[in-house]
Amino acid sequence: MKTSRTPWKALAGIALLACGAACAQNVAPNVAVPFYTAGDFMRGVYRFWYAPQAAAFAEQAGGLPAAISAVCDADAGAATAKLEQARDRWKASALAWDRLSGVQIGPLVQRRSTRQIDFTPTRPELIKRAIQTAPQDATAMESIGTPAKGLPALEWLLWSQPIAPATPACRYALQVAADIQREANTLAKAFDELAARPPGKDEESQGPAMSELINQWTGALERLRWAEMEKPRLAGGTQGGRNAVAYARSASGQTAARWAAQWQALRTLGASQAPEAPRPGTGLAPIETYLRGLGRNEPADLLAQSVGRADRAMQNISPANKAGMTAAGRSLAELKKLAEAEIAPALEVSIGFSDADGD
Amino acid sequence: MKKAEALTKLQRRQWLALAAAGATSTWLKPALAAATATAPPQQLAAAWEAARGYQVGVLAYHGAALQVSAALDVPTRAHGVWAERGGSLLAVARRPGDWLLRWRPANEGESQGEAIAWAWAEPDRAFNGHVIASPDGKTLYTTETNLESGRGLIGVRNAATLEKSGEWITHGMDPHELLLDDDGSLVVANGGIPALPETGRLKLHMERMDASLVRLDTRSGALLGQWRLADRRLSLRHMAWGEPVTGARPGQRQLGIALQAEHDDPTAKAAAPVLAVFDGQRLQTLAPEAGQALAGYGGDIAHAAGGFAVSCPRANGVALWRADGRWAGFLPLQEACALAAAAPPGGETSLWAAGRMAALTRDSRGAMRSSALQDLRLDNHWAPLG
Repeated sequence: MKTSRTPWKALAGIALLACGAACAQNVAPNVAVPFYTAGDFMRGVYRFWYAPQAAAFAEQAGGLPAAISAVCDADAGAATAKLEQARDRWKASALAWDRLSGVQIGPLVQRRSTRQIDFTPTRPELIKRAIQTAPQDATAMESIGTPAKGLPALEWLLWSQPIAPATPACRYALQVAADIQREANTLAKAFDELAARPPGKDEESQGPAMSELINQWTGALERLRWAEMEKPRLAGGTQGGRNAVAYARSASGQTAARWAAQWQALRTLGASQAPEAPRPGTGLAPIETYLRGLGRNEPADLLAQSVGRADRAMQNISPANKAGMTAAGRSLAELKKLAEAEIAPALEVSIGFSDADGD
Repeated sequence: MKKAEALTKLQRRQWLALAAAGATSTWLKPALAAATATAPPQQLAAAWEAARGYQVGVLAYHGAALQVSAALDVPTRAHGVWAERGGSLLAVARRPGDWLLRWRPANEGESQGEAIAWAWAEPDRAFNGHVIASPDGKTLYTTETNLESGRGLIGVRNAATLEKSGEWITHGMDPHELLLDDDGSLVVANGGIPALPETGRLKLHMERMDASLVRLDTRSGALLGQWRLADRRLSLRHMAWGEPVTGARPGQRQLGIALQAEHDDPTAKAAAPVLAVFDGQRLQTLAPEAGQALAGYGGDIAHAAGGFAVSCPRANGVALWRADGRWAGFLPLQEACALAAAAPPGGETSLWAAGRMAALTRDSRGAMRSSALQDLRLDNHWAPLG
């Protein structure tokens, strides 16, 4: 696994993660903000968000195979402790992934990474079949369907039907972990390359990349509100629960943590959390700051306010907090509407599939 | 503002818009001059976005304005609506496309509709926004997408339970509206735009775009025919049956298809046709009058007054063609989209068009009536009730 990341990436990651809701503070409208080209904006996004997050995911996922292997090799007395350690490693990996994939762009989209390693709902019957198939390496894992591998399948193997030492299920879990690690390393390398591109290189691709980010940021708001939070609640409450959809990460109890991680990605990329705007190339300029740099203070203000409202609504929500979920859903819907109606037009970005577009 | 004043202002605005747009078609002039307007239908079912979120519901005339008479909150955007025998309605989600809903408009004195049953798409499927029922009402057909492969599907469902009993492939991507023909076959518009769940709101790999019209055997799902336009960047999306085709097999009608252009070049996109016509053998586009910009986006289609009408929200109006395919004029209406053709009891077929702030009714003689339509953003379609 690659660990030799450049220091600025690590620092950027730490600073962004340490800055929670308390830091939600937009750049004051009367503070000078530099002009950012689409290239400046995307370089900031790659360098100070995606590359550090992809590196963090690769680091966590890099420890997964060893943690699973320790369970498989444990003697009876140590099995429970090793299982707990593997669970902890899975939680850290899943959270790093949820943060990275909160807004999916570039390699995440091109590789269909979510489908590769986070297909939900996982299918226990397919996992059981895959265990019998006993794949031994990456090539053999390619023939296993996505509903039987990835983080949700490993969650099932760690919580729903926990693996025991020296069993076929444990050996399969090891292959699933290795599969996740491979995808994490590939993503880290890909975002590393994007972050390392100097100004002027492939500059013509930065406009479409910026457009992709705005589109995907808007789509991610809807995904968090609907697919993650509201759909499981509604689908489970109709037709006698026949069509119930479990909340993602419910087996591990990490649902709320997943929502928080995804929201962190949206918030960080959406509104400024620093009192000053960074010079191009020196820090992450979120969408709000990018707008200010273009002189579009009015939509930037609206965005900062709406992100702030959503941030407050997203605090302390969980599947048990129905009222909180309803309020958060409303805030996310409002923010998505703003993104479509004000933010994208202000950036001259066309939302590919817009709700206002009809069909 | 009183309703009557609002209507007068809207009518004046329509007049001004017509004049500004240079709509000098002689076909339209008598329509505007007509003092008497067709009596509008009592109710229209539709999906919309209101201030409180997405809803499905029923609009009814209250004096000069179309107002919500019943509404039901839905969790995500709904697109197509279908009126069932017995008064219940179906609504289908579109992007993300997770649900199919049977609901009942409010009873007298109630303000809310009632959800009767929900059907949820399987994890690897998405509804594409349209549903129709078989002639006997026992089977429903929904357009869907396989999210793994992107392949288009028809979901075959038990109408009583909404449960899926089978799937047929549509031999294309992005199937959108579907209609039954008189011979029992199913015609499906494959929109052809590649889309996958993780691509969110992006249109990617448009070089792979492949729109087509297919005819399927409803006994087996077998492909009976497939037709494509020469221009592969024209997405076939919404359809309406038209006049009988002269010299064709008995019962063969023209099929009008509203198009949406997906060209990379904005000029080509803006100049693209919005209507294609299929006569059972050939699929071809119809051009508007020279100089008439339609912005390459047909939002809905209806057949009224012997010809096809295609709404053009980006050109702010409704494009009209005669039965023989000749251009018939342009009806200005801000963000025109939802269209319907139906006859009120004892009356003649009229065209109803919904825009951003107003709705227009145009009868077979060309007489028009304008109605206020405020505080709602209707989705592409509406369906007359009763």
